[in-house]
Parts: sequence; C-alpha cells; structure tokens
Amino acid sequence: MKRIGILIVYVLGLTGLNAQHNLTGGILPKINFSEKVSDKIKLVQSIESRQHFFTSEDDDRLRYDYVLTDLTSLASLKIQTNQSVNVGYMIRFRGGQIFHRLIQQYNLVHYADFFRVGHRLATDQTFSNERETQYRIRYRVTIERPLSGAKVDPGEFYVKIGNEYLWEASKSYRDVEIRLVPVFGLEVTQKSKVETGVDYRLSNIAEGRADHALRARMTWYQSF
Amino acid sequence: MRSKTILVAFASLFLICSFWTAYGQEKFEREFTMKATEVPGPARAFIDSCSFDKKIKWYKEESQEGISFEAKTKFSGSWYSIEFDTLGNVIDVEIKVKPKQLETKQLNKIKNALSGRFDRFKINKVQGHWEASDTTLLEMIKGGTTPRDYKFAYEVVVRGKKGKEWQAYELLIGPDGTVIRELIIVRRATDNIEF
Repeated sequence: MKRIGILIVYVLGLTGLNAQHNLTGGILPKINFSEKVSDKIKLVQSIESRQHFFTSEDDDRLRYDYVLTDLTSLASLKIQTNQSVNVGYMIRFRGGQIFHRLIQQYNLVHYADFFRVGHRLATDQTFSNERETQYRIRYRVTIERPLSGAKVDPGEFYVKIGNEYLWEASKSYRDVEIRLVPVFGLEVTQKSKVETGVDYRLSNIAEGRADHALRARMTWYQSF
Repeated sequence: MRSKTILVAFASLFLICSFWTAYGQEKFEREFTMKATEVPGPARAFIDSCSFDKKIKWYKEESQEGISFEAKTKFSGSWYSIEFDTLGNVIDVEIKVKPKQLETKQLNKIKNALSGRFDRFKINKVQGHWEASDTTLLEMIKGGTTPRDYKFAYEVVVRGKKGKEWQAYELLIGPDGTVIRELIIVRRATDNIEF
C-alpha cells in the first residue's frame, strides 16, 4: 500500500511539470455481463457511458454533456487456471460518429493469502471514417483486498485499485495516458458485484500538456 | 438511423446472451474478521502463551464442518494459523513454508505424490499441518520441536493438470507421501479484475 501511495503522489506530481492543463469531471457508469459457454470459454458483454458535468475548457462552468456510449463484446479463453486471452470488438457512439475497435487482451491473476492481483496486457486498434486509425498498447495492474476476513465472501466489502499505462499512436499523434482507479466494492452474491469509486486519467503528457479527467466510476458485474 | 439500428442489434445480442445460465459445485467456506474480545477465553489464553511478537488477526470461519475460530500471525519469518473450536480448544496449527525450505527428501515425497495424481503440476503453497494436544502444539510453536506424539501432514495448494484440464487443488499429504485428501478449489469470479 505504501508503494501505491508513492505512485499516486508521482502521478499527481506530473501535473506540476506542465503550465497548461484541462480538467474534466463526470461519471462512468458500466454494466458488465459474463456468461460461461464451456469450461474454458466465456462471453463478456458490457455497456459503458461517459457523461461530463464540468470541463475547464468551458470557463469552469457546470454543464452536462453526454459524451459517448461503448458497447463491447469479448470472447475469453481460459488457457490456465489463472490466465486467459480475450479477443473482441467494441463499437463507440460519440458525437454523431461511430468508432470501431478491435481488442486483444492477456490476463494473469495471482492469488495471495489476503488479496488478488490481476495483470492485464492489451492492444487495441480503433477505426473510424473521420479520424486516423489509432493503435494502443496498455498494461494494467489491479489489486483487490477484502475489508473483512482473508477472502471476499457474499455480502462483504472489498477495496480495489487499478493502475494502467497506455501508449497511443496514430499517423500524426503520439501520447501516453496514465489511469488510477480506486474503488470500493460489494460482493452481493457469488455471481454479482457492484463497485463505486474514482477514475482518474492523466493524458496528453507527450504534447507537453496535462489533461486531467476525474470521473465517478460505477460498475455492476454480473456472471451467469 | 444507421447508428440506431446497430445499437438495437447489439442490445438484442446483449440480452440474448445475458439470459443463459451456468451452475457449478462449490465448497462452502466463509470467514469473518473478529475482535480478540469476541474469541473464547481458552483460545486467547493459548495464543497469549505462545508469546507471538506480531499482531494477531482473528477470524471466525463457517464451513460444512461447522464453526471454528482462527488466529493468524507472522512468527520467526513464517505465517502461522492456529484453529480453535467454538469452546476455544485448539484443533490444529498450520505453518506456511516455502517449498525450497523443505528438506530434499520431504519435497521429493510431495512431488512424487503429486506426480501420481497429475500429468503436470505447479506448487503454489505448502503448509505444515499439526494436530496434537495443547501442550504438544505449544512446545512445537515455541521450540520448533517436541518429543511428544502428534499427527503431521502437508497441506499443498497446486495448479494441476489432469488430461487436458488445469485446475487449482488443495491436497493433504502425509509425511510418507500418502495423499489423505484432495479437493478442487473453486475460485471467485475474476470479472472485476480482468474486465
């Protein structure tokens, strides 16, 4: 936990390196459904929206803006008890435009006595008629710990923190984005979890700016 | 209009997939953090006489075998777990060890036992498991050894492959390499870690 604290200070300290920055605030509600079709394969569907209430580009005024909707469909193949590879597709509706994204992921989950650690390495490619194709490679580490007992049981709370690094590139653009997502979660049943917390993103670092986005994240995970 | 059609198609696929269901068999075990003051007196007295120097965490465990209390702490570089019944009588002591800390002969007995059960395996965790009287277990904890009688086994958590399937297992293996018990570990869903 001390290392995570140092990381938070480092990430927030990056903002001091840049004179120009934007700040955006909003919410990120998401529903994630997963369903096992065999011992090794499951299908995952999710719907996520992004909504803003505040952006410093608008002279610091509060203004509601429905930004986008993402619909994602993934197929997950378990290659080991604690490893999986996922491939999928996402369609994004944003500002009257449609974006298509192909997704490839590798997941590794490590089980320790009092917590679980997930590592995810992913690549994705985003296409649209109006913009250049964007390529990304991303790495995320997630740590989950129960607030009671040595493991999370139904009806119990837990804390989870995710830290992700994204490298983006297109023909005319390069960027690095850093994300920090601490949340509180409740395991409602063995197949259902709800989480709420904060999603912080620092982007446009490579351009000499520091754009901050701080949104409330609310997610429902349901397995069938 | 086109974007609306795509949205409806996706939502339909979403709803169709969401009504499929799957069932699995699971081992029942729940743990709750407890305060030391909620634990039966004899259990607290036993822990006090162990002279542990680090913080003790207490848990109440509910399982198919009933209710028990567990004290967990780190002592002399190893994680200890002492289990008590509802009256506070000690049931067993478990000490986590790294496979490389075991004598070669002991490790080979464990590996031979696992080779007899799995096509391939990877050891994730090994615990020494002692069952004996309070006095004997106290001697074991404080001195590392005892001349009195006790029952001993290794509790081993492995990732094991049988045929084409990999699974997580917990095995109880006797000091002579006999497998006393084998259980499949059913893990919690990892959706909130992976996606």
